[in-house]
Amino acid sequence: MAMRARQKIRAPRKGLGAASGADAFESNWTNLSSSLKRIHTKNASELSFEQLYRDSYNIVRFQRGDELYERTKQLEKEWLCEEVQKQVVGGISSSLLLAKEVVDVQDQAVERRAAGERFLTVLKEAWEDHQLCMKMFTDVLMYMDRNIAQDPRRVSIYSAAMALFRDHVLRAPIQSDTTTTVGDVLKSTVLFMIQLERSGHMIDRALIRHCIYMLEGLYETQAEEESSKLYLTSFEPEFLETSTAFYKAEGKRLLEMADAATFCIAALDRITEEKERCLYTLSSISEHKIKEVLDNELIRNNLAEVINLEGTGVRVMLDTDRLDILGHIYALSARVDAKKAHLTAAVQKRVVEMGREINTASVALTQAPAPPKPNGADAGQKKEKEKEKPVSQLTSSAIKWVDDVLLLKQKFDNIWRQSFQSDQIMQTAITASFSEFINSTTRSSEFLSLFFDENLKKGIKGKTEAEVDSLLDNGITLLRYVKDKDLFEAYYKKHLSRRLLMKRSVSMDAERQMISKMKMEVGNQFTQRLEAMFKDMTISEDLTGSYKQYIERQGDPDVKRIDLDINVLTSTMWPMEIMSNTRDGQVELPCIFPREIETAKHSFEKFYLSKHSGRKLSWQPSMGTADIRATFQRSNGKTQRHELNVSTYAMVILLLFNDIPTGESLTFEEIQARTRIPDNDLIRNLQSLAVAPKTRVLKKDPMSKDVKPTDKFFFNNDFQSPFMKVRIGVVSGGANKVESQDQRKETEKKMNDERGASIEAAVVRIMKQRKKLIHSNLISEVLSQLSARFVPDVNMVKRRIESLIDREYLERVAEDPPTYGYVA
Amino acid sequence: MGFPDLEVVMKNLLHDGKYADMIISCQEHDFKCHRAIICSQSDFFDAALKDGFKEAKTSQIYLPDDDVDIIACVLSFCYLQDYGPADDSTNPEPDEIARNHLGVYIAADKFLILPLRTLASSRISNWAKSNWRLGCFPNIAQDIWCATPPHENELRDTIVEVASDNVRHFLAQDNGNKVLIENPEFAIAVLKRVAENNNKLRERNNELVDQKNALILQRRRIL
Repeated sequence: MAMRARQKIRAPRKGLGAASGADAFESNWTNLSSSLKRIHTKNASELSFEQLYRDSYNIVRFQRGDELYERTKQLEKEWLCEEVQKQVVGGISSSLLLAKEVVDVQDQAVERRAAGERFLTVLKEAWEDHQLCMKMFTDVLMYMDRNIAQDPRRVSIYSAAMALFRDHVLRAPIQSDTTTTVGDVLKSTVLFMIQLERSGHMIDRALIRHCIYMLEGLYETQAEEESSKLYLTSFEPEFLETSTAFYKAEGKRLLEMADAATFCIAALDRITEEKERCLYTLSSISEHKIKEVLDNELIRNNLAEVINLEGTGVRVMLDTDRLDILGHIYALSARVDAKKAHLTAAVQKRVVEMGREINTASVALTQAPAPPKPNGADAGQKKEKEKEKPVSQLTSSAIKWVDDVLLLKQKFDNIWRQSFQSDQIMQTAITASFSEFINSTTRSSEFLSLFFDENLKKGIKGKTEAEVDSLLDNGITLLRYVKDKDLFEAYYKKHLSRRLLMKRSVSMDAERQMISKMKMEVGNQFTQRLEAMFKDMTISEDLTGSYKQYIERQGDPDVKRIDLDINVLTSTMWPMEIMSNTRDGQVELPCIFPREIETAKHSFEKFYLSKHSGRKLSWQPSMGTADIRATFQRSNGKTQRHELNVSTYAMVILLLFNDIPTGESLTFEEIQARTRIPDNDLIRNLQSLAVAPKTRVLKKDPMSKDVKPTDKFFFNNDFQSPFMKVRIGVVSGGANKVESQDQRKETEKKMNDERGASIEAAVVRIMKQRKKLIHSNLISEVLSQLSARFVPDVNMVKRRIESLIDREYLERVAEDPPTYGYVA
Repeated sequence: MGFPDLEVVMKNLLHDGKYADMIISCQEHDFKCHRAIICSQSDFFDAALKDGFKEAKTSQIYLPDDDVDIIACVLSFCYLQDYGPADDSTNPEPDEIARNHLGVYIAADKFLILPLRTLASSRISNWAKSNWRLGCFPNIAQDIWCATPPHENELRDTIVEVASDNVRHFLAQDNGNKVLIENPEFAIAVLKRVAENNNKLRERNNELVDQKNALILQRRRIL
């Protein structure tokens, strides 16, 4: 910038006081006002901004800013009243005023819509022009605005001009003799357009959006608070009101006409539609309010009915796996209710119903009456088969129960993941329902244990490790639901002991895996006794080995020596019915073993007690097996040998016949007297030796299914079998099966005794620690301590406490509230 | 500034007018300027170059009513955050310095460049506080009184303060009396402040008298 020769700095002009400014004001204003008018008529491009600014600057410097402000307002008001108002009112055609509510009359609707669009266009243009002009005014009058800004009673000229537009355009009556204003027509027109769009027509969204911008840019008050936007005061309330009415009717209509799926889809479409409407047609201010309207009117008020709709509701969706629609229902429920009460109730109800169906089906199977006895001569063989059938049918029904429950679980897991977005509340509800129906049948523990038994015996054969793993995991999942874990443990122990003793497990790895899974799921305490059983088995193996070495060292040359395979079981760890020598409360005399066996038994006892003095061995022939070699003298002089695998009892019975000459017989009573095998076991063993069709090593006279005390038994030298080795199972003895009614009662009784003991132990444990405790606190602590194993019956707990008081473990120390003390 | 080279850059932009995209014309002198710099600091120029008016089409703004030296100062401030006294005078008269500051002050107010207005205002205050003995002071005081816009009281207060604190000196000069006679509002403002000062002195005096009496009483008691 080249500086030119410096002039003497001029002193600012003097006398800028008010007195000298009157003429200057008028000339400045004349100039300014005519220019402002040219801005109105969009004719400003030749105007010099500097000139206009200088005019207004000078006026303000002359201290006439207030007057400038008022005159500008006046000028704007005149322009709005005389020009803009006329133009806008002129854009209103009569059809806009006539049809207030009628949308259904098609012709009228089309006409009204066209008229509406014309009107909105005029209004939009008027508003946009006004805004543009006022921005230019503001720029020109900037110096004035700076001064006005210091006066709290005044707003900027821009705000003042906006208020003028509100009062003289929007609130202008459309005719001199009516109270209807331009704003009213705008509102009804926009609402009409929205109604059109809701009934499926296309409308000019952008046009409406522009008119809404106007309502958002205007305020009721000078201060222009957010809450005084015209949009909020004079449009939104009626919009929400008409929407409420619309969705009330829409909900009714959908319920009457459509099914649940259609309702959900329609409702979700409406939600998207209204959201979009707020974004593109109206204002995002309304988004959450219209959402409220939708949630209340369309969803909350109808949801329960939709969920429970006969034939199409949640029940059917669950049954037919309509994951998508269930997802919709969930989304709708989640909108209106954090707890999703109706949906959870419906799902829970269905889970329990389906679960109970599974329960009922399994009960129906297990209690199915034995098939009618076939008539006719060939009944014999068939009868045998069918006799077996109900039993295996029972077992397979137990396994079917587990499979069905797992399938159901899988189904609902799938629904939960895919439709319910893995919602925590839904999961809790579904879990509770599974637990409810699973625990509603007393047999769930037994069934589940049988499921494991079956799989560990046969099911996992030929399966990969991963498959076995997931199979066991499935079972464990169900175990989670079972409340009476102690009952399950009892069954599992019983089944496990059979698997271990009879070597029926396919894989010991799988067995151990199972134990560790249970440990993870239920806890250490739960699996302790099961692990002890495994330990006994391992120790026994070693024991058998070292016993064999011991015998060899003894150098006994007896070739007929018996190979002894011993399992020494710790009596407290194994199931009671295996260990007990008592039946029906009476001590039974031990079985009389044949001489050879007795010798081996003594030899082992001597060996064992020399290692572990002070222990008592009690022999359990009911759980053993024996391999014996039998020689059959055919009538043609030939001999046939077979190796028989029989139960210990059967061996004892067969060995009796070694001392009996061919052709002679023993009666049932004689056998019983010589062996002292318990009746029950004896009958079953005789049945498998003499009745079962393929393993008739003995002949029975008379030949019948039942065994009577007077029946005679012969050694069957004509025994035929295609196999060298023959396995003779014990009729309905060895395998793990569903318990009969009586057995179950017995199990329950045992269970109750055990529970009583657990409760007493818990009570004493708690009282020893606390010394003094109020009744209700004691009960709740007992319940919480035992809940991992079973759900104790409160009455039982009370009885146990009474009993402990009687036995002077506890005493009553106060009556109100009842309090107990610990007696040391 | 953490960017020392920027000053050179800005100086070059100011003097060369390179990359200029607007012209400010004053008294037949064209200043080539940059919108980015001018419009971002002045609402006046910003509005002028917006759509709608002639200036927007031509990118040229005529300032027929302004002084070219003052405009040069304004532009200097926009580019360099400072303005100097008229540059080719090695030894300007004190009243010229004061009038220059005042001119910049008025222009800053008109073109709505607030930091510049603050800067000019403080320079005028400093000038007044150290130059009240000068014979030209009363006239300058009058100029300041008349030129300040009605919404701006700070500068008026300063000038009244300086004048009234040194009112005897002010009245001792012919032009001082003349200024007071011609500007009754200014005279009243000065008088008000003198009266206030007077009042304060009297109160202070009373306090001192009270303290003195108290001390005398105390001494009597001790004696």
